[in-house]
Amino acid sequence: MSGHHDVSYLAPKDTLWKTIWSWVYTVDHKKIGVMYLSAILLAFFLGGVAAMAVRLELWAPTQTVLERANDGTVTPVTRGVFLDPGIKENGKEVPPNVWYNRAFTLHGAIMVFLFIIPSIPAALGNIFLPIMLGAKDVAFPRLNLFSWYVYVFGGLFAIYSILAGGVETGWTFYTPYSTTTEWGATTAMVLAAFILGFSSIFTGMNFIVTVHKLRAPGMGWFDMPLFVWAVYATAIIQVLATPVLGITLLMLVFERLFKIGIFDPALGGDAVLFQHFFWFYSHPAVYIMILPGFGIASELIAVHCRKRLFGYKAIAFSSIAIAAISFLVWGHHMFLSETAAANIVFSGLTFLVAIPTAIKVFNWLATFYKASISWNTPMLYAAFFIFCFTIGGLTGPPLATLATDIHLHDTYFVVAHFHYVMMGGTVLAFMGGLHHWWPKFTGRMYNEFWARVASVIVFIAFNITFFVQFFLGTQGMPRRYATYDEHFQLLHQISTAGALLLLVGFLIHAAVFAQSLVAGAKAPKNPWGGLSLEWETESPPVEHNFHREPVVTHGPYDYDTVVPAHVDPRDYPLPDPAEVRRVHGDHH
Amino acid sequence: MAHAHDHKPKLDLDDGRFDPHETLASDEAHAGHHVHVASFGLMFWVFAILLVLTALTVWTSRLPMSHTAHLVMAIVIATVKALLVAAFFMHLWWDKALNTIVVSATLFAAVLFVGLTLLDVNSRALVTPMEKPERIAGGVQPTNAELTTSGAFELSRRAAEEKKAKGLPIDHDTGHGGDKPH
Amino acid sequence: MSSITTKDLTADRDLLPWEAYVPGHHWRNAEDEAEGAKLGMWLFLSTEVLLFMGFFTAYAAFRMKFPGNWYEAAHYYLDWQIGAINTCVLLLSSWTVVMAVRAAQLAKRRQILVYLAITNLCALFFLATKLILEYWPKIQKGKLPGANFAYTGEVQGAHDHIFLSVYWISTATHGFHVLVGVFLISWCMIKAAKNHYGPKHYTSLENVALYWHLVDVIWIFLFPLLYLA
Ligand code: HEM
Ligand SMILES: [Cu+2]
Repeated sequence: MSGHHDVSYLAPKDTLWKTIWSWVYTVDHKKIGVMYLSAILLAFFLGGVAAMAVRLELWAPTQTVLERANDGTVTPVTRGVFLDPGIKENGKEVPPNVWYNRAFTLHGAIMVFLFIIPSIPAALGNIFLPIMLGAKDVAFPRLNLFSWYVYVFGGLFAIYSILAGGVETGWTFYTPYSTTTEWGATTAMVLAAFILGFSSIFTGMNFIVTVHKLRAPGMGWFDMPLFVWAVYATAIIQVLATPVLGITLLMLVFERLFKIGIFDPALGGDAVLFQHFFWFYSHPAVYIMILPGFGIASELIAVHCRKRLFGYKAIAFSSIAIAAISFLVWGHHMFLSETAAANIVFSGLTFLVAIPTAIKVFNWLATFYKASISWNTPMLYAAFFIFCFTIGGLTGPPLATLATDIHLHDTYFVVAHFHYVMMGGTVLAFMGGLHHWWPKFTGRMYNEFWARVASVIVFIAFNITFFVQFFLGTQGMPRRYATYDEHFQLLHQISTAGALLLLVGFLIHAAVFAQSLVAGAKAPKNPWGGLSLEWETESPPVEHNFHREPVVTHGPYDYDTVVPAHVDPRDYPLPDPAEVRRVHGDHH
Repeated sequence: MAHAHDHKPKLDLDDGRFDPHETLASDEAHAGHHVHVASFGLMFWVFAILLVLTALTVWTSRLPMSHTAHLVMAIVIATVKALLVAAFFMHLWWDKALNTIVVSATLFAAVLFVGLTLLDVNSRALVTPMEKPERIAGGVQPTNAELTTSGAFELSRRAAEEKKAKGLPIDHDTGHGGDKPH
Repeated sequence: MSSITTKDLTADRDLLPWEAYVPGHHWRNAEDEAEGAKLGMWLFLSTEVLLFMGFFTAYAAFRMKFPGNWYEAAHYYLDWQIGAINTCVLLLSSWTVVMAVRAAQLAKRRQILVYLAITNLCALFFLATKLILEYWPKIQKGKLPGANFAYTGEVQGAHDHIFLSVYWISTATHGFHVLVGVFLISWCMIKAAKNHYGPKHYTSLENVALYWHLVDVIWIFLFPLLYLA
């Protein structure tokens, strides 16, 4: 076998220059995945900084004070707690509430478009989907690299927008505010999201074709790991929903540049139409965010419970069902702006999505039964994920119910709901997946003790930060306000304290990863005893993933009949030891 | 248990080449499946029918029918044309079913997008009266209800009046068509 | 289809590029690669359809609200004859693209080039008509979208400017796709000239053809909706 296939994909080339070139010009899905991972972690950091700014500003309500100017006139001036730099733009001092708007818009837009949507598919999915299928690469490697550069290009627009004054419309860019606001650089941010959408589309297209055409010999649809199913379902949404975001944002740009009037009521247009356009994408998009998290949860639970997943097909098909239903429900974001007829239909359809979602949760729970669970960091995160996601999911129906949503809409209840699903769901699953696969794609083990400490801190801090927001919301605290009634202050302060603790948790995680990269022990091929194909190749994988194209002879979760190499069979809750086979991790 | 090197891989992909025996076999498979050569006659007829349908859609648009009927006719004929293009010019008729599934999923999303949006937009009239459906050209002034749905009309009317007052020319555009069906 | 050697053993000559074509290293065979590429193209066309659905939905929303106004505006501002001629031209170009793919399947290099050349001429005719006979007079008369619309007093209804907005953005986006098509078809012509297309390999030609048909399909809807209905 020729030499270069056997080299780790991370191995440096002869010269530094060649090494750099081998990254910027790579078509290797693993390298592209690692580059995506670095970028989204950077985005997560930036979004986190903006989040801290929001939380610190909410430590106390803004104050309106009377200020006496030199000429003796007295004017009421609003003073921010934290976000009040007193900078002038176009001759006017930017008021603190505009700074506050910028902070939460920045937070939302970065977290949604630059972090969470690409997070699992484009980073972990890119690295692992082809390996789990036993393929050498994704179907269109150059398109994959292109999508990464499109992402970077979009990111540059976002950064330009931030530097040029930011955006204060919220990540939803609702018209007519987004077409009339005079502050900041809205157009650049809208273009950023537009461009980032294309990167997402390309990733989705690539994965669909990869799954259809590049499965290893012997791998049928129901031999695919559930992570692959989930990413596949995600890709369907990415392809079918994202173009509508593209055209929406393009029309918004036209609206801002040429005043085409379609979304502008002052010109006879229709502002609510914009909301339809936006949510036609953005509700399916929340499933772009969570479905890959579901996929990771399935992997973590099966591998760390060392047990066949309960209800494989139910979990697989529920992903597809969720993808389909996600196109039916967008109007539940508009119960206060659309008509009663639409309200009734959308409310009814929204409840449908709870069914496939609950199917997943029940199957995961059933898998725990009589499992031999190893409570390492990925498994902890899987459990935290189920806990938080269930809370997030269960707070969905009250929002989908017309009568209650009238009260809860645009309050902190919604903020808590979507943070429980997006952070408690996707981000916790992402963290679990990151730890689970870290040894595989970096070739290094991480410090299990400190990672567990950090994960517990993140879990507790997350709940402190966001659970109180349910109470804030039910008591009537609206979202996106820089100030509030004083009786909300205690709950806001608890939330801010939780956010600071979250920061501590993530900093410990960062330290654990840094330590692992610098001085981590070398990772074995199969540290957790997994059965899917990625555990049969080297850690880190060789350039073409496998020494030889693998032939699939067992399912990814056949823990009742197969024991991976180097793992103590006594750790396995096997029904019949006589039937046990051993997988040879070694292919030589 | 069987594993990778027990089973001789069908194709040795390591050098990107094929086992010659395999090549022969898949060559036939390839020729048999992939190359469906379109028949000249069929494609020409499809083209001819598309032209006829184009003429038909123009013709129906000039019939004295309601606005809704015009719209429905236009959409129906266009859909037939699009299906012809997709099935024959784009080869879906002979292709793997998967490509047709992709198209169907797309249409599913597309129809939902328009349909559920219209569900809202069209039911607004139940609450707020909208413009009278059948407005015919010829200097009919908008009603008050119309003015509230469109401040723009009012704005542009004022702008034109201002121009008139200042003695600026208002160019009287006749457009290209101007042919009225009624 | 790949081969062991680039020499054709029977003909004793160098194989043409399409004969010597070897699929990418991660594909199992050329058929999988071609089918994968086509599936990818169809997925891309999906995204195009849904992108244009934005315009169609905007069209539908306002057309439902102001049916009379829109019917009148369509007939007043747009010339159905130009639209109809352009429709026929695009249909012709779709047919010639089909014929170009067919020529590739039959290894007729010159035919590929001729058909693609006709396709490109049609595309350029379409663009020229749009720019010279439609866009330019409208720009001169101020028949621009939204707020830039010049009100002249004898207009048909209160929402002409919104009609024109939908007209402008949808036809301009479509026109942009036509322009992209011109470049893609030219690229295919270069490849065809260099003998890259033949019965065993014509993936990019086939996919560009699919793209071109989609551009045609979009226009098949835009024409009656904007010019006639
Ligand atoms: C279990 C099923 C779910 C139901 C029934 C549900 C329902 C809802 C409803 C009705 C709203 C609108 C509330 C309002 O604005 O008044 C909402 C908001 C939201 N949901 Fe969910 N949801 C579910 C799951 C999810 C998931 C899985 C995610 C993301 C991973 C998510 C993310 C969001 C976001 C981001 C918002 C707020 C968007 C904004 O206005 O900025 N939801 N949800
Ligand atoms: Cu939603």
